[in-house]
Amino acid sequence: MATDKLIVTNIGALKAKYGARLAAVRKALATLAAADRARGLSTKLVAIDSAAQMRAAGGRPVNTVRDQRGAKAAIDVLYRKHRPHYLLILGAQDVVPHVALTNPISMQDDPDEDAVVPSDLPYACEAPWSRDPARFLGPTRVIGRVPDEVGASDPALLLKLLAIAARHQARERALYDEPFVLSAKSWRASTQLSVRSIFGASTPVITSPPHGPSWTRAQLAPRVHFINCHGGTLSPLYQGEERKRVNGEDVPAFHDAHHSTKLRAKVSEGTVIAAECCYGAALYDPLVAQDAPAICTTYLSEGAYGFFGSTTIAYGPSEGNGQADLICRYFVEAVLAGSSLGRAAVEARQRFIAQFSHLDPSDLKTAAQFLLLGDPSVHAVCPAAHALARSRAVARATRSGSLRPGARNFRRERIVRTGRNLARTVGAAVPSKQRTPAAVLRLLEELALESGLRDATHLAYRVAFPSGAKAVSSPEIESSRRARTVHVLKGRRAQADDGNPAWTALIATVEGREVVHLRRVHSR
Amino acid sequence: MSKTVRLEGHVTRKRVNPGSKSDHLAVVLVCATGEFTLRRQGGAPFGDTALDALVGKRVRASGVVSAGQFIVSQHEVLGDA
Repeated sequence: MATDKLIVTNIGALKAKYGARLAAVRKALATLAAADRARGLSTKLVAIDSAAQMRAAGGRPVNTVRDQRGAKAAIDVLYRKHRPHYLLILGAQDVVPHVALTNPISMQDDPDEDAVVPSDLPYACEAPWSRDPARFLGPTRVIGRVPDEVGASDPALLLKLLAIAARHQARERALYDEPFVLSAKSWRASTQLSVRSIFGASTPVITSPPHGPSWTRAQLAPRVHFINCHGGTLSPLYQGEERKRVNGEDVPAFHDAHHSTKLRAKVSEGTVIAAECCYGAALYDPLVAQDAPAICTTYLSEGAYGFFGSTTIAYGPSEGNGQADLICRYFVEAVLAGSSLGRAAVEARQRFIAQFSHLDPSDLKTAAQFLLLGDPSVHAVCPAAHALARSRAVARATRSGSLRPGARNFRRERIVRTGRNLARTVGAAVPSKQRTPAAVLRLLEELALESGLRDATHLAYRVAFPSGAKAVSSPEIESSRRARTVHVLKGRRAQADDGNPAWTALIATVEGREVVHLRRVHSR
Repeated sequence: MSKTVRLEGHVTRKRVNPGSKSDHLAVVLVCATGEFTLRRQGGAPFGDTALDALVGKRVRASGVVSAGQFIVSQHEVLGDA
């Protein structure tokens, strides 16, 4: 019998955390499998640390919880054997590890604070083990992670999330029409653009300051939450920001916007959250830092079906849309169109990657850092059914077994085709020591002068394409790609009185000696 | 599981994470093992004004390090840097 949904976990790690209470987890998994069966899904649990189960699949068990390479190999083997429509990773990173990908930003002169990017993207891809995020630009698998509490000895959170997944129900689209949109005040323009695209021009955006972090149940009742605020590592708090003039200088003022301890009993069952915040989906041990759980796990334990967020520092413009704005928007759009949460996540990743010829380092980090927390097979929103599906003849044929709906197979076929095409064709910018052509440097320096940049530094990248890209491009495209480089002049703006931010990058894409694309990016 | 560490160094202000959603002027501990953005345990990740008083001082502190941040549970001021 085919496996529709494969649940992978490390039973030894769960046993080490929960001891005898692992029996309760097994019972909750059995309840989920029974609920799946009633929905027409066959579900199978496999332990990646089980020698017998891994041998049966032609693979090897993982040695330790930290064995990222082993976990990737085990999941690849299991995926190839079972070809499931959904892959559910059960447990936080101290049960099944994220893959610590190289942070593409860390190769720059002025890196961000993330040493690595903990990612589930490699598990969604057919590409073999690597720490290079550029190897994982072709996701083909519908995956999600149902986390337990990091470092816990009580499985309460996991039991709750499994029970919510088991009893979940898809709801009418109309129940997801009105979102709760929360934005840092200084990013309002960008957030407005995102939610207008999804929900329409009249969608209200609540800004912080002045609002938050105490919300009423009515305010949090909407079943889509779209959040564009600051987040910090090991923090149960998201913060808003506004720019203020103090002694003639443009300075940020931060404001508490959202706190995990203020969510209790206010979240509607079935809520889906897309959070652009830095560390929005980072899982941590509540005891380590502030004795308060993460916002993401609190949402899920309060009845949310899925949380789409970032494990690390995220990127996005203050005006216009880019990086985190786009991948979150694509996720919500797919959920509203009736995709399962897992399909929405893979479609968001694919759509984000597909818009580029090549990804620059911040785009690459975005593709790697966003992940789905939640059961990937859950449909929050009912797909709109055709009238034919309601006919008596169709009902009879389905009951008799002469009609076996195969639309999900077609969708998986499309996702695999799209992912493989992306893996074969999309390039990524990689740091290079090559010199910036004199004319390009002159142009960038003139722009730097106009933009009021100080202490500017140069960065150069070559653009690397996978070998398969050649097969699907013309000789002209090949020749332009070979000659393509990216040159960045990055510096601080004088703290002028125009309210503009303090950091600016001028980015020139060059083919040969010609500048073919130019953009200016501001920090907040 | 993050381990508690003790670090000693001087405190300054520095722009961190340029161009990202976390781009800001942070209070940073500069010590022999590197630079860490300072945060108080229970304090906000951004704009915690209680840390301003440490700028220009030499401090010894204990806490946990995560993603380039030093989340301080205890500290003592050793004097001016």
